[in-house]
Amino acid sequence: MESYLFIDISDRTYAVELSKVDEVVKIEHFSKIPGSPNYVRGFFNLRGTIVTMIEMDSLIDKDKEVSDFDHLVVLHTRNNDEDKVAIVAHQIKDVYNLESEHIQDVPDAEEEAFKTFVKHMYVDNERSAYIIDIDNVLDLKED
Amino acid sequence: MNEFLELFIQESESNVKDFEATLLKIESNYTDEQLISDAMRFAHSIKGGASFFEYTQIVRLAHSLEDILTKITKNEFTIDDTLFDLLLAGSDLLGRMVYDVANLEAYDEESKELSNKLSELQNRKLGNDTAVVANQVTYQEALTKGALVYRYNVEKSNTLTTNLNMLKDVAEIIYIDNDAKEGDITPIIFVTDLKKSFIKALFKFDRKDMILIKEDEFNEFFKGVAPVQTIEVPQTEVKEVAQAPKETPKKPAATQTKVEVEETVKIKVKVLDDLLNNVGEIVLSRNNLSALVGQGADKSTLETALSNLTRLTSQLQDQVMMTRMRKVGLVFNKFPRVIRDLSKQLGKKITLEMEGQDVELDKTIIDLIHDPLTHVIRNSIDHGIEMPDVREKAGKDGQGIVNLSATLDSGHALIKVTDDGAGINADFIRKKIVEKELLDQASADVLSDSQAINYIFEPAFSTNDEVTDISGRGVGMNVVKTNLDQLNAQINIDTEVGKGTTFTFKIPLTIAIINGVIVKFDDHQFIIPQSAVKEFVDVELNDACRVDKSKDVDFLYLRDEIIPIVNIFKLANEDFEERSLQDSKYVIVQSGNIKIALLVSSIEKIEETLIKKLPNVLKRELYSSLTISSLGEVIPIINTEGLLKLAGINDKQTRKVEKVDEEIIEYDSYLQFIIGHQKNLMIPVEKVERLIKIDVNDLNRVLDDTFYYVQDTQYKVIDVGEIINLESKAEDGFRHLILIKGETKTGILVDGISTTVNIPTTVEVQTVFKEGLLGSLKGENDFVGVAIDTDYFLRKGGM
Repeated sequence: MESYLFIDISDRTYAVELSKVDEVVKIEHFSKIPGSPNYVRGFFNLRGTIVTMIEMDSLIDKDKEVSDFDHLVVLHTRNNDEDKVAIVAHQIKDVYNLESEHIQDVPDAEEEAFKTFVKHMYVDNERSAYIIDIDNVLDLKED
Repeated sequence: MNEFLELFIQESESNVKDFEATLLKIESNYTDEQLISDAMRFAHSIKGGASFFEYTQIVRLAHSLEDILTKITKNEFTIDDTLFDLLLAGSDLLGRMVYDVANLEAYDEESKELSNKLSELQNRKLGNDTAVVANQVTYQEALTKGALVYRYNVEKSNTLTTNLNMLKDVAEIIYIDNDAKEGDITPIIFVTDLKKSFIKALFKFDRKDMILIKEDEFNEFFKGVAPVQTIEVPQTEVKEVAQAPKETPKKPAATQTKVEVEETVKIKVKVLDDLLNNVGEIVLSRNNLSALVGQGADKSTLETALSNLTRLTSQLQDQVMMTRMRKVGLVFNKFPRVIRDLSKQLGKKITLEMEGQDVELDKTIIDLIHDPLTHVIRNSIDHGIEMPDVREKAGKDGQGIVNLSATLDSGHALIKVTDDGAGINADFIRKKIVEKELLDQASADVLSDSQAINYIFEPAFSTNDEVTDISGRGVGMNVVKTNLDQLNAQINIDTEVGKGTTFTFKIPLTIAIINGVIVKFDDHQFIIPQSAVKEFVDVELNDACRVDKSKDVDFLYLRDEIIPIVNIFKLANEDFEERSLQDSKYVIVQSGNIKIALLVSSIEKIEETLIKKLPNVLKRELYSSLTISSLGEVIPIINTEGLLKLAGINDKQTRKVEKVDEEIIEYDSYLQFIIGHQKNLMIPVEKVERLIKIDVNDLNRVLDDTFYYVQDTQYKVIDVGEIINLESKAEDGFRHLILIKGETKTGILVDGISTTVNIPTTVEVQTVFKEGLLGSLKGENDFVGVAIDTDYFLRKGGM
């Protein structure tokens, strides 16, 4: 059993392993930088560290329009020289302990881009969520 | 994680490094007992730590290594390359195991195998190796191997064995008695070109026991000797062993965990104490300041308190930077091994010289120069240094030299890699540039030697036809550039064909903080490093410059320079509002010899900016790094060199290639100028040396000729209007002088410059039979221009 943080982004609910979340923050100010990939909303200053803001919607569906957001889920980097990354979230729901038996692969029908960042999903009687593949989000590079 | 384990891993990593370094020293000097006992100590420490954690694989290997080292001192077996290959392979394996202690089982077989080979090596019977040819040879046959034949009577001992191994390098041993026992006096017969005194000095042979023998003595000696079978030295088998560890290391299964170790640094206690004192003072100073604010103190009192705090903060900054300083030696010490392995692999003879290992640099620099240096050094070994026979033919010493040095020079660290190899042939690079379709032939031809050579840093550029382990994929040199860009460093290549090449990295020391100019474009802020900023230009306010729109690049005419205009939004492929280039502000940015005019909305201020790493999602050509401003905003720092590349600007801006209907059309650029009512006169841009706006009163008339001085150079001025019968309409007494490139110092006087036009190279000139004119050219949109005959004016200028 592992703890997951449930967040809403647009019309989907996602789950992020709690062990891979550093903190959830609200910010007042961020910078857009020309030449950023479309899935990068901007960059903000988290106590002296620059954090890249990732828009899951645009990452998965290139044509998605960006909307206002409430929170940023700052992810835990695997080592120090890695870029600090946060996922833009529209709503933070709660932390749940998920039974691994309810975790399944995403259906084949989902498009390629989606499956790069969301490999598994959780479904039981009460709730369901797409589980974000954090490592692939951390590994994003300019293309 | 267990803190003892962490400590063990850290210590062992450093011990393995020292062990390797010591082995390399021993290889060239294996009689030095101090070195050998050092190496044994390192192996022993690793063994001790590992046995505490019951890492049997490490213990076993460390023990074998220690064991064989003990025997080197006792001279119990032969010392040769195979031994060192095995020892170094052992050190590598130790390193890998220490780094991956969680998965030691994966290394079980490999470590066992290596330990076995090590003990096998020790068991090689002493003397086997020295059992050289004892076949009967005639004196004449012996003479084919050298001019002088010696007989040497000597007591058989361990020292002799070692000496004989060395003797084999300089002489051919004809006879040796393998059956002789320790202490027996035995004759050795050998042939060499070396003089007696030299041999004596080299091996401390006793002179009176060594005699030069003639043919009859030689025959006499061999009369009584029965031919002995040549004893084969079992070398081949061992060689294979030495290579065994080079096989791909068995990859631990993905599920196995890796023990992670936090990176740590050692700091002098003194530095730490100073830091603590300073922080204490800062706290006091802050309390003082807040008390003053609470009392409602006046501005000047507050400013005094603030300046005290400012001083302490910058002290703190310096002290923290001090804790990050590391010796360059940390990086350099890796290279003796690289050189040893590579030169063996390639069959080259190379000496590595190192200077300035004690120079201290910031940790970031140390971390980032490691890869570039490795690539440059590998490149020097692979491409630079030639094979020994090639070198000798070229009159050089067969032994090549690679020199690695670090020095500090006014705010910069200079790291140089020099080799005395073949040098880089610029023509060869040009050929490759065209082959790899990086440029067309014409563009490649106009590159200067140094520009051409800089292409080796392009991705996928590799001059080595065969891809080898060492280099040839063209990836390496690109890494060099990328890493050094992150440090804002410059790379310089000095090369002379046949003499060698020097790569110089010029790295700014204070990489963490630079002075930056904050500019705005619409709502976005950017920082340009102040060192790259030449000047600010406000076209509206400044009469001396004008803007010209041409086909694909807009130009800013600033005084006598034509500077391409760069719009960063365009380069970033972002939407932007078209604006009048005429009423804008520009920052003139210089990178190398090239200047660009960066379009901005406003220039905000100059600020000390702290450099932060550029996230991977951003384009490295656009930005070199990010920073956090004094207001806490994230602002990108512009990569000036990258911008030039993105904008496709090089210092030959005369020819532009454009894609139209998937067909590449080449254009010639012409500068369009005005005389009187004639507004469509043109001169090829490539013929223009300089443009100057002049006051007609500054012209010097001597008899019938007119001259103008640019600095100390005298130019003959020819009024084009007079030649082609056009009346000047310049009113305010200012006219333009176009200096023409050519043999003679000639300038032509015109009323004004209007723009540059591009005309496809395929358009033919419709000849006009008029002195000074070449003919008319039809451009796009019904434009027809009249080109002047520059050669005519150059001839005129010479008269």
